Amino acid sequence: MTAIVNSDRASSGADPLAKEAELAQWLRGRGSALIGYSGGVDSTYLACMALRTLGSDQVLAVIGRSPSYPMEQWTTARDVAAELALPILEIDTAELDDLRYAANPINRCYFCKTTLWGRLVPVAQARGLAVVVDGTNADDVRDHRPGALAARQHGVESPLATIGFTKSDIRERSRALGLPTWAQPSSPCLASRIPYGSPVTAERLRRIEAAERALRGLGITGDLRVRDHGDLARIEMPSLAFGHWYATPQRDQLSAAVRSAGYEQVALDLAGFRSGSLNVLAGVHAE
Amino acid sequence: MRNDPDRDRPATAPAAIGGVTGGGAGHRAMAPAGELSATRGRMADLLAAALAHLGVSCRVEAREGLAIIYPASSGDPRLDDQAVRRQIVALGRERGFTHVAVALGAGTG
Repeated sequence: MTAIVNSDRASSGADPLAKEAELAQWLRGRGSALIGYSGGVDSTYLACMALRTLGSDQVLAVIGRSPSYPMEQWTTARDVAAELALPILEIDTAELDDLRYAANPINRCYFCKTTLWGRLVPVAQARGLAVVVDGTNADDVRDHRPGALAARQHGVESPLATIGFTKSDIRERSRALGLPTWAQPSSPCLASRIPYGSPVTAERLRRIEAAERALRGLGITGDLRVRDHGDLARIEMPSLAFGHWYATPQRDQLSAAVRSAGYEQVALDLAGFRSGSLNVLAGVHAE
Repeated sequence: MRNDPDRDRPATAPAAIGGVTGGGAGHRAMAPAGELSATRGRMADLLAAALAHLGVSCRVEAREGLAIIYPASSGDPRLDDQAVRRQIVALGRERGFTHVAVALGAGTG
């Protein structure tokens, strides 16, 4: 694997191909499925497997658009769907209208997913699709994921987690299937860059997205997050890249790129990229 | 320093010294904002002193569990060394910070 995926946990050791066969059997047992689809590694693999197993008449991938969903991710989702001939539906979600979400409590994801699944489950019912599934994997289950409760409450199933697919397994099988997403960095929603308790606003989300886009424009690849601490942006990137980007003139380029997005101060994290970094800041641990 | 919603709201202390935003089992009592601000200031001073001992001359600003270091000389070459960076992060954690970052660009000198 490349440096792009260096934040992944190791595979559980079970044969990913055997898990894939189990997944196909699981999907066949349902007969049809609506997939919560983001264009990320996990949901793309799941959608691909559903398409291969059930056929396009029995599958619908639904993209939930909102200010917390990066534009690049949306473009990827649409492009990949077109490449796979995956039937998609795009809906606008409005989680920012929910003041409980916008207040950004530690269970913010619960309110987001409640909004999302509250829209998608009726779509599945109206179209006669047997099950609503998401791309949660076995690694996710070990993390702080309050959104999982919303999924359970809406009857949404997570076959990748159920079968034991780790992120590494999914990347391996995605690569074998020729999916363009196999080496794509994980891309959680933009709200995950804002410390808990600090309000989520459309303006802050736009600023984060613009800063990350500007940094990508400099040539930064792999895991990258701009953590929004109000007027200060804290950049997290792989630790091994620190030396290159802290040198002159790259350091000034980083600073200028992030300031162009609207931040007054810029800082580079000394420990580098950490998935769930702001959970650590808030003292939140896996449930 | 303007437009910073984090600055003015009642702050929580870093996890290591208590304070979690939100509810649930991890919720802890919040100390008065002035007391927390003084605590963070002491933490920052302690870290700056430890870094000076390490040979990194800098000012440290605390924002909840985040320590921002402002090197006296822009682009301190010692930070190029991953071992030094790890040492700095460890020193920060020993003093209650969950994250340590170095300021870039204008105002870092």
